[in-house]
Amino acid sequence: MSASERRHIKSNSGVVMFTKQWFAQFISPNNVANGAAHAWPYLLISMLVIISIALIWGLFYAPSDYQQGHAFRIIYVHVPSAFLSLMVYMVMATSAASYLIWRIKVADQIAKASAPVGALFTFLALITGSIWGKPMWGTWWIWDARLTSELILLFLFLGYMTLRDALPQKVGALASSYLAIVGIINIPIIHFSVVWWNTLHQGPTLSRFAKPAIDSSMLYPLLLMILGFILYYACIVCLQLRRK
Amino acid sequence: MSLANLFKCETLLLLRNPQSWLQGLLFFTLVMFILSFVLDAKAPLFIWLAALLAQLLAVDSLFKQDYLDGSLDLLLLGESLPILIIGKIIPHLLFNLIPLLVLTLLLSMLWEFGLHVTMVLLATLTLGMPILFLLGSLGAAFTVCVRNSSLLTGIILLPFYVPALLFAASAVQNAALGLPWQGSMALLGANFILMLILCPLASAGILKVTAG
Repeated sequence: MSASERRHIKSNSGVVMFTKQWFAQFISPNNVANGAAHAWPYLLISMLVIISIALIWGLFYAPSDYQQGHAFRIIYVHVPSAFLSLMVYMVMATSAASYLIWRIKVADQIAKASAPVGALFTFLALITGSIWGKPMWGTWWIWDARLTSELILLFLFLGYMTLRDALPQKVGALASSYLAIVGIINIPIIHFSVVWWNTLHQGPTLSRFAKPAIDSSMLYPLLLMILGFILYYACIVCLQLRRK
Repeated sequence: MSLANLFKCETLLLLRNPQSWLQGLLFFTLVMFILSFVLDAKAPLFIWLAALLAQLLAVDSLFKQDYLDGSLDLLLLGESLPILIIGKIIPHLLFNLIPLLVLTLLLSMLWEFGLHVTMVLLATLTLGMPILFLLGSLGAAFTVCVRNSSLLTGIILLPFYVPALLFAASAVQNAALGLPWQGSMALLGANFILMLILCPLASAGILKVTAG
């Protein structure tokens, strides 16, 4: 190995070492608790501002639907809740996995803080969905793939919390991380259920690859609402992390 | 501990303590009695429901005795824990499934389901119960150190039981209506293969955390 090669490897590993140290410091519980304590008021205020703008925009200024009239406006609560229920589960499972693999304590705390918020959003998605379903489908509930798998998601969140409560602290943290990871199997089923099976539930409104199936005058308040919900979730997680 | 040894050990234990699986069977019989007593309609799916409930109670104690007397630690020291877990599941499965199939056959004759439906029902049970036991090993592993764990195990497991139950139910219902049932059966089989691969690995990881 030539001298220049050796020097190259050395400097390269120096960068890696520095990054690792910086990252380890960055995710240390103290640093995160500090950051969270500083961040949550900003998150709270921006969440309130964005949700108010989105609500006023969506409820008063967005045009009414040509088929569903004003009743479609529940989409501004329903879709963000459903989106967040899946997103929170993914965050929870990813954090659980990083806790299991690298034993990052903060990741476990994020997973722990996520579960109740996720359960709340899932519950909200189910409730608003059935309120929307009654006038549009003529029924509060049907046992189709999307509704059933979303209900299972609620039970997964509740099971995670129950298991965590029932076991001693350290064991509970590790075991419930496994449960969160095993439960991931449900996420693609929920996401693709409207594509794979015939169902009363309409197809996806938002999609990464296709043009959204909704006019932009209705879309922007919806996206803003999703952003507001994400800020709410971040705010709650920060409030939980701050105390540790 | 080798797989053959474990298998023999477990079978002997089950033979010498028959109450562990006889209780589940008795529970199944009682649930069937209650259901046929209370409800007029006698659907083949009641058998699945009762079998599922009895299985939940049975699977909860899969690792518990071993955990309490310390032999689970020996199992954890073994080289290929997932394989050993399969070796532990199989005797429990057989001791629960075979009497269950006999009882189901008797009940089907009693309730006059007809030969076709009975055969499909037995086939779904034969293919579905291993799925429940594989998933059940997860639940048993989660709650191995909890004292009164049967409720907790049920809460954790039931959401995961839904797909297997759905496929089995649609196969039996289609058979009862004279429709093709093979599709649902194939999905049940696919579910079985997936669980056979994933569950022992997951149970091994969980056991190392909860019992280690």
